[in-house]
Amino acid sequence: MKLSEAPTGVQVEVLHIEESDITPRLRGIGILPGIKIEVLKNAPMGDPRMYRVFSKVITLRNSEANLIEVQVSEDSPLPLTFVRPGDYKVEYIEGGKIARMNLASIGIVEGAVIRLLGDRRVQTDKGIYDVGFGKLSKVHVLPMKALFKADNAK
Amino acid sequence: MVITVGLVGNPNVGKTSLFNRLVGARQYVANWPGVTVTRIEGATTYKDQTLHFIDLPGIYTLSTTSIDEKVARDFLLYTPPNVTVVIIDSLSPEQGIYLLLETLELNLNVIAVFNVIDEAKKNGIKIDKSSLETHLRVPVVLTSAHTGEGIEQLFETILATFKKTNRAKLLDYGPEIESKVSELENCFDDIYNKRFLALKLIEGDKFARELLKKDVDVSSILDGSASNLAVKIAKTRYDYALNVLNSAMRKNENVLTSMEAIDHVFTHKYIGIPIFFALMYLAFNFTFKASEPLVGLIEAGFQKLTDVIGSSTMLTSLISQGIINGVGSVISFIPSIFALFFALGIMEESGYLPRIAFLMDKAMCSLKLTGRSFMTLLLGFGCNVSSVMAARGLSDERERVTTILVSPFVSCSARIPVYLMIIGIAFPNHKAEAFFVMYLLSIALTALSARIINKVVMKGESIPLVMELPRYRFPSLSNVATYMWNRGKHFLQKAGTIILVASIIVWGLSYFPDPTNIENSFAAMIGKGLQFIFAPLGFQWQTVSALLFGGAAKEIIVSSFAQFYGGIENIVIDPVIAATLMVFILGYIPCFATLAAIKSETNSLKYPIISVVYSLFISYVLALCVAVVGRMIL
Ligand SMILES: Nc1nc2c(ncn2[C@@H]2O[C@H](COP(=O)(O)OP(=O)(O)O)[C@@H](O)[C@H]2O)c(=O)[nH]1
Ligand SMILES: [Mg+2]
Repeated sequence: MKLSEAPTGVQVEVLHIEESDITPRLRGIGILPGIKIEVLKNAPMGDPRMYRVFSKVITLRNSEANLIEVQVSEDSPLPLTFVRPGDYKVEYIEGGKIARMNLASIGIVEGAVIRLLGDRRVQTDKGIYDVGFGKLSKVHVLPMKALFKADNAK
Repeated sequence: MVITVGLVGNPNVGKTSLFNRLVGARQYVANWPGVTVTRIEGATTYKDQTLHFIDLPGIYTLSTTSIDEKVARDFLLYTPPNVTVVIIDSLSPEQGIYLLLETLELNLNVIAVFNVIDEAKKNGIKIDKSSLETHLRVPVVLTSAHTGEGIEQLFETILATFKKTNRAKLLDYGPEIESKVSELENCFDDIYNKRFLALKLIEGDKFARELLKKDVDVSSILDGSASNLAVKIAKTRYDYALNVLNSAMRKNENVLTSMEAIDHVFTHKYIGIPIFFALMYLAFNFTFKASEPLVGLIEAGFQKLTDVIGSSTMLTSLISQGIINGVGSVISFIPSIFALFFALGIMEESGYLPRIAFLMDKAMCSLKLTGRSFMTLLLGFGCNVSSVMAARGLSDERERVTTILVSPFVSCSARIPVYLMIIGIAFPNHKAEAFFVMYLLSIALTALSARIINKVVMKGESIPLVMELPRYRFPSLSNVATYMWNRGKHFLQKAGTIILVASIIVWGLSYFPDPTNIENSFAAMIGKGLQFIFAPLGFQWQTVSALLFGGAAKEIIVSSFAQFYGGIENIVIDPVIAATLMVFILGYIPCFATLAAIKSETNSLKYPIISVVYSLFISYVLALCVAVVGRMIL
């Protein structure tokens, strides 16, 4: 996956950078194979985007982010639009107060366990709901299985 | 004995703030990257030693792809300072240490400064100074440019480091790279720092290639693996940096959460841009509300003074009309200018502006400019000369020239008194609104011109934007004051020089040959002679002459008006002509200083000429549209 395609709110790991004029500067900023980058935010029309590299917030245009090949980090929460049906724990919710309140009213809050059904509906404590794509993409989850494994490892 | 001290660091880590602390200067500090594009120098004495400080542009690496990087790198390579201070942001030190490790390769006397220690402490970050010193093998000083902490110690460390001769050991990159480095070192002349250049060559720096000895071929050494090795070099540095930080720094997770909520709104996809315009509107409103009483007071004062002196003889006329009325009419707007820059200073200091660049980048991109040149153009709201000069920081030549050519359309502070005068006369009940519209128009005209210039003069593709967004900060009053002063003082200087001289010339032209009736003066003759050109716009001869004299500097328009009518309060302009006039003034011709800057920055006469012809043409056309449409409506 290209860095420009990674969904917001996700942490990715850099695999490879295509050489270009600005590669030395990207390296200086810390964008290197093996380094983890957090995808923070889109500007209007989805370009440029904000990323966190170590503790600095950097903006990159998609034309440059296209040069960077990444994969989602193993332990990174993913938006609900990005995962297969199954059981998940809500790690965090992107967006402002209103979006959070709407989601909370159908039982999607940080820390809640929810089930994504095969037809893309969401089952929560409060029932089964049809949630729009926009809202789904704001809910970042970790699979219950992975959490279980992590607990066992401890 | 003079000790030279270079200040190096990432953008926005507080280099200029520290510089100001160290030499007691008042350089322009801003919470956005790319402010310092050329090096700034200043000297001070400490314990009988003269210390000469050089503030360099912010960079991430000494490999060079932009002019900022070249300025910093050339300085360190060709004129190495006695002491190099690498300034690192305590809240995001990783990139800073990377740059420090690169700088150490130049074999300089280096001091590592961890700045912004005040914020670090507030965020519960613990820094173990001695552990840093052990691992980095350079002296470390923790400073805050805001509170002044550590500045004294930095001075002491500079004196101590300066005397030291044994230098820090460099990083070892492992056998594969080290063997290539020693092979490549033979390809450079002894006058250069060979290890540094060899590493840069592997890292793919084109400039290092240019410094190779003649007739050497490095392609056998630098086979296909160079880009892999470059990554390895960078990784070695970063691994080292992370290890150092692991053992010497304890970070507190979840900093900055309160600021994320604010940022969510300010950089919101939909409401971010409307919020920006709303804030600008508020800033203009503040400008008027805050400065109105003072402006009135100053105007009344000058009025009294001219009345007392009178204008019965040539000398009293020169003093009361030429000097007090002419220059005073401009000076009375100074409180407004300072108030506006106060408001803009808060926006910049808080770290809000780069977010605007982020929001606007897509739009700028369609004009073939970057968010970065947007910020350069913003400097033009102070003075177009600054934005023409700051365009140096743009790495792409086409973008740089375009930015230079469109700079004059950014409504600079010299135009503020002109608008204020006209708005005060013709739109007394809608001051902030009219002012706001002029600024919107200025932005639109700048954008339109960028589009046209890109189409006609230059063709090319878009340029990469790699920009750091600084943390939000609560603006410090002293920094906002410095900002306000730096932008406003220019105006005061002009009042005492070019505006004074021009006022006296305008006085002469309106006094002679017939002091009793201005309609017979030289100024009137000139104005009436050229009036036919402006007949479609409906301008009087006074306006035509004022525009002509105002070509040198826009404030002179105010001063000329004041003299032709014997004071601003006697002027009457109807709203349509006022609007036409303001639109024309917005762009009609860059002032002399800007033209000179355009010439020196582009090193050619072609661009200043293009600039004059184009701006006269476009302003005339736009003003004509306003005149025609205005007359249809009213
Ligand atoms: N709290 C705090 N802010 C600082 C300090 N040094 C600089 N700043 C702020 O950081 C921003 C960037 O400073 P500047 O000197 O322009 O950085 P430069 O780009 O490295 O020259 C400004 O808003 C400063 O007010 C410091 O020690 N403490
Ligand atoms: Mg600076």
